[in-house]
Amino acid sequence: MSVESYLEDRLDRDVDGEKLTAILVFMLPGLTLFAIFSVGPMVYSAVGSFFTWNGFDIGQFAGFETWVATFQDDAIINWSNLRALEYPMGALPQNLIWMLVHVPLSTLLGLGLALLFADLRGRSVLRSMVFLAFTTPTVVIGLVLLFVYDPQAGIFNELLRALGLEGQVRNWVQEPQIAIYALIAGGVWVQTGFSMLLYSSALAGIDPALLESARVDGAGRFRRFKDIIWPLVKPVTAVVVIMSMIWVIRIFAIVYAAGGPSGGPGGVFSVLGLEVYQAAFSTPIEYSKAMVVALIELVIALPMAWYIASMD
Amino acid sequence: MRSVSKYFDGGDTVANYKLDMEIDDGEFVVFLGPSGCGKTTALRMIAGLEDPSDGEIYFDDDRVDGTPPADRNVAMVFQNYALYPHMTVRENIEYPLKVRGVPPEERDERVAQVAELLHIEDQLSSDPGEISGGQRQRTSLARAIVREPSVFLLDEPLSNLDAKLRLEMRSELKRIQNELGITTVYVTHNQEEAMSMGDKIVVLNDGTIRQVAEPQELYRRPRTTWVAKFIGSPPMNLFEGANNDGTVQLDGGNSLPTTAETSSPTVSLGVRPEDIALSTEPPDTDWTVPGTVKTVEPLGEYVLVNVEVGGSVVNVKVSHTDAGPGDPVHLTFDPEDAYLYDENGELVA
Amino acid sequence: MTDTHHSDDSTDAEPDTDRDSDADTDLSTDGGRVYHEPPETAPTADRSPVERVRAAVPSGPRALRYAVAIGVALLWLVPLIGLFMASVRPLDQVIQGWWSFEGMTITFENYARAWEFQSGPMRQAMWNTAIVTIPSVLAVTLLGTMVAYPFARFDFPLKTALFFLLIVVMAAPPELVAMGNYNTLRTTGLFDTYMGLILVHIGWGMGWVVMFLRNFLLGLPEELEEAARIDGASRYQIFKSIVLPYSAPALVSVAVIQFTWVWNSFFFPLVFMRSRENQLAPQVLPLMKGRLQIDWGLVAAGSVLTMIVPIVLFVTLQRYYKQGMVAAVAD
Repeated sequence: MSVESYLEDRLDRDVDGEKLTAILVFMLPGLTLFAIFSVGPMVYSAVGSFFTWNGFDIGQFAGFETWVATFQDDAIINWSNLRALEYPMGALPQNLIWMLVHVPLSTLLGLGLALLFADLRGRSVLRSMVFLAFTTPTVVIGLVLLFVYDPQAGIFNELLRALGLEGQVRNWVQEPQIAIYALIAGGVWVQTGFSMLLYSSALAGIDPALLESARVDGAGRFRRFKDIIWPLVKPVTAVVVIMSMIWVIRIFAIVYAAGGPSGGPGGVFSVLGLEVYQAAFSTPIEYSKAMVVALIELVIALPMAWYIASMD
Repeated sequence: MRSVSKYFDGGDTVANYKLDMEIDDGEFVVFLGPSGCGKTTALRMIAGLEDPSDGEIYFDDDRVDGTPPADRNVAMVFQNYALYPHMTVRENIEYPLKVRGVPPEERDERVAQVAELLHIEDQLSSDPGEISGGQRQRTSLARAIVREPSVFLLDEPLSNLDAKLRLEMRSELKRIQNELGITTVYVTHNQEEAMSMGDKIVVLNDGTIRQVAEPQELYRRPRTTWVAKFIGSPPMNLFEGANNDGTVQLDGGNSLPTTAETSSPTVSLGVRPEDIALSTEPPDTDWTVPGTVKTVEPLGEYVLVNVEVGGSVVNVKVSHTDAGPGDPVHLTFDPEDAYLYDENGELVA
Repeated sequence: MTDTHHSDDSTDAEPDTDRDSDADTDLSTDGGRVYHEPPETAPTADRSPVERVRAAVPSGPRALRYAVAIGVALLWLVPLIGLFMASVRPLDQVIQGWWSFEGMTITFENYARAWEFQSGPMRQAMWNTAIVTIPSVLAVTLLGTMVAYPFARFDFPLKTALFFLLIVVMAAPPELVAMGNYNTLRTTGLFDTYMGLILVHIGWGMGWVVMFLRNFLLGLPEELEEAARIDGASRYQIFKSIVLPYSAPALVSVAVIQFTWVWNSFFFPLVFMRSRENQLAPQVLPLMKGRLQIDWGLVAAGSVLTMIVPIVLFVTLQRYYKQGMVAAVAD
């Protein structure tokens, strides 16, 4: 789809030629790259998901064949395990579970830390300490988690030993039924810094006179939070929740680093992103499945992004 | 509230700070001072938003410092009104009642009452963002009044209003305070407001009380040169001079007889601009100083003449003058209207 | 807060405390009104240095909050501290636990091995990452501003459609464009080249960069441009002399955030960079895990080398990073 050529056609008809030429000159280079490397490939995937593929070459129109097959693919949704609530349940339910646990935890922790640091001296340093993990490459985060959960060298198991829970010591990322939660904890560790940052700026935006006024009006700590702070940071909560959801739905490198391209033993913590990678770039090449799974990710994320964009 | 006595030391964070005073029941007290003088800090300490690092605050006979603001039964109006943006006008007003667990029927009744008192009945269901500045101001007053507090604290409440509204709210505030008889502490840097509203004015500077007096007395008898220069527009003129045992030798050259007793070698003589008369002929009195007219500003109500006397400029308010710039003139005043300050700026006579 | 130093201080405040205690008797009167003589000096000077320090140190609940806050912040750093410790200690000590300091020895052996790591030396990988990151960040910032300016300022056909596309791309996972770009780069011969990856990053970053800068430029006062036009500036001159300088802080934010994202990005290099000499640093790290016993020292050293660049950038430019982060999502 060539936005530019269409634009050009339309623009020529307009009166203020000089202005439109200027607009075009400004926008053309950026939009060309945007079209070739972002919009084009997305349309390519959307269309390609309805075709059969021979390796990297497009084949016949296949309708919803791949879509149907994907929802019956154990790697994506393992229906029988899902009913038994046993891992692996498939990448889609696992990704959603990740979201379900990760988002509320990181949001609440972020709010809690933002409140805790709000008026302390040196809050900027404290915030940076918590935020640091968010600036770390996600692949490093995955490796750090492996390290933390290592039976010998991992500090988490050392903590268990220190608490007298010797029997619980194990390699947490190798435990099929628990591993995903171990990784989610890592995700929360990383993302709390992000939600804390957003909440901090929202809190800083609250007029201190409002809180003082509430104090004089007789509101205690809890009431001040419930009646004043929470309603005022609510819009930020929407942003934090949605950004975290999008972050989780796109999660890739952490899982790859911690469990390889298969997503842990038997794919117990595989996520959608990994399945796309597996389908597209490891034999057998299944381009159409990769496209379908990637589109599922988009379908989940798009309404949320749309909501944020229309929030103003 | 029978008496408040406070004595604060704001430590090294705010400023060196020390106040010591009392406020009578039902009194309208104005804290007046330039910005940064500590008047808001004083108000916030009465409210309990800040703790005195030292000293005590009493409401009647109860010591309240250390008591959280909620338990002091004070209400406060903030400079920017501090209306809760996510609540309607009604919810804003009833919030202090709600927090205190007043039942809904009573809340409605009392909100209706204060809304009527402040003429904002029609705005009750609006959001604070939708109403005018004056209405916001009234809403924040209503929120403070609705609790029937024992002390009413106002922090520059009129400074965000335009001039016309400010005048209107000034009398409105005074009316409400009279009606309710609540002890009120009002902070402002605007001396006109202070003069027109206060039963008593506390002039503050650098965290210290400079003078406590009724408006008229404050104007007529400023106790220090600092206060003299702070109050009045234009402020009081100060003639510098030397004290020669019974006479004051002004820097302008003239020597004036004085009855005041002070050992201070240098003194200054303060005279309000409106207490000075201007004449081109030498008048028949000792209480006169020669000078040269610099500028003449006809301001309608009066004419403001700047006269140069011995290197400094003296402001004179007259109803009419024929003198023009450069003309030599004589400034005359009644000894009754002149105040003598010693070298420390303290009033002697 | 009712602090303990409170009572100490009031004894220093003689003689004024005396007067306070029987305020009703010892008063000067003036015109029927009652007031105290204003004290000349504040009593702060009476306080000894020790007491001043004590007054400045938070007490009670606030001190507890500091303790909790510092504790939590440190807890958040523990995994990264562990990583750093592992990178500077020999493997046998790491396996015994990096937190035990008994017989601790510091070694840079791990860094040396990571630098020359056989299946992807960091020496090469770091260089590759820089070669890809720097041009793609600079290009996306400049081209993004050029798109965002008319987007924020003028009406033109299909503006709504462009808005929609930008949002879709912001929401889309990078995997969605992997297949198309893979084939594009293959057919153009740009697969497994710096240029190929750079172009992919530019195209992909354009979505949020344009959105971000558009929101920022909506705040550009039109009077500035109008004044420049009256002065005879062309649209290109206006862009150069008004729009770019005005956006400078936002551009720094964009560049810093985009830099960390591109530098840290794992998926695109994994797909588009295949040969050993072209691998980027994040790509190499999982390879360092080895087959049986994970060589923690090697992994940690490689990780520290990779993350040190974005972290230094974050620490030095964190104001822009944080502002940008907040603005990017809050708008």
